[in-house]
Amino acid sequence: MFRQMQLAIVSVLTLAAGFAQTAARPAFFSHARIERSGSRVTVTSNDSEPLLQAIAALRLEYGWQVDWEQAPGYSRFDVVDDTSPAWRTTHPNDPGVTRPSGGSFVASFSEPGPNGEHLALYELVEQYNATGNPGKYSFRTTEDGRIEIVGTQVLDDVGRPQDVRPILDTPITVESAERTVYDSIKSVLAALESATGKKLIFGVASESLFLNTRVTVGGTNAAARRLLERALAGTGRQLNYDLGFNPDVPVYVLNVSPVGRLSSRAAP
Amino acid sequence: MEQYPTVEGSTWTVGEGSAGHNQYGLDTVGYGYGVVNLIQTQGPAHGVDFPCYIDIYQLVSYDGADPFADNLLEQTVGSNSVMVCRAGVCSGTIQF
Repeated sequence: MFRQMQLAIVSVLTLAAGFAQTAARPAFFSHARIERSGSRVTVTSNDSEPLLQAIAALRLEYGWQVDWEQAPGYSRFDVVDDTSPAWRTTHPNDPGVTRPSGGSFVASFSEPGPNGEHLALYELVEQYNATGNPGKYSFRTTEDGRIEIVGTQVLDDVGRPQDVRPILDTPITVESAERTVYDSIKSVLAALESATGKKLIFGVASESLFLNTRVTVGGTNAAARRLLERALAGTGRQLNYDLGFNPDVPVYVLNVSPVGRLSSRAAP
Repeated sequence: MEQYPTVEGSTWTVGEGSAGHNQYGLDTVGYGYGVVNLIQTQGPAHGVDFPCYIDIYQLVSYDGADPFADNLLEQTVGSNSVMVCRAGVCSGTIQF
């Protein structure tokens, strides 16, 4: 009996990046911490993007699907200098680099029951927006039940709130055709680059899932986000996406990760 | 960065290879051109020393059966090169 050879590749885990840092940096957390007291859950993050760090921890704690789009901060009120002193000494006249100006963030909410992620994440976003961390965010849900947390406000060069339209809300046109999921995503990003003049790259750590499945995606004046979601749905898997923004290049980076929960299995 | 414990649900299937039975289909793991280019061009100013490394932990099973291999996949990024390794077997240095 012939069986199709299949490999299930399990668990692309957190990337252990050996980036040697030479400059003194804030003592950020590697992961947000989740603690319980009675019926309350407290999530504590400390990162240049503390909202994303909190969301990442909650995804893994509860197995929630949550999409995230960074508020595209660019001013000295939303980003801080992150230039390595050692690099600066050898590049005295070159532009430096920045990182988001975030730091500590603590939020709490009632222990969510089944389908309780909407209220918990809504409260998370509300509490984040009350801090001085960079960007203001909106909690949204789609007709398909996806949860999106998207940046909708930054601070301008003089520190005034500036509303921004999330770039994935931009209407784009993509010819309807059957493609691999990978090519469908690339088509959406290419159309979005044409529509906005902004650079976007697909930064996923594994492309296999997207190369091995095909989907028909297209639309006229459709929100890029909806087309992206249709492409991802073609995999038949539950996936989160994150769209980050680097103002130094400038470039948006799209990452996609599987919805999953932490398992008790020991790491290899 | 600290390594996470295993994440349930983060699986995908690699199809059958075109060379016949008992051939794995295409699998690609690691960062592509765009992110590698970003690391190479932006990393040094952030204090990244080359080479730097990205480790990915991979568990492999056959047709839903018990896992038969734990692989450490490592992508080494130099200032103008990339090298990839799986379970200690490495490509040559790829100019990038």
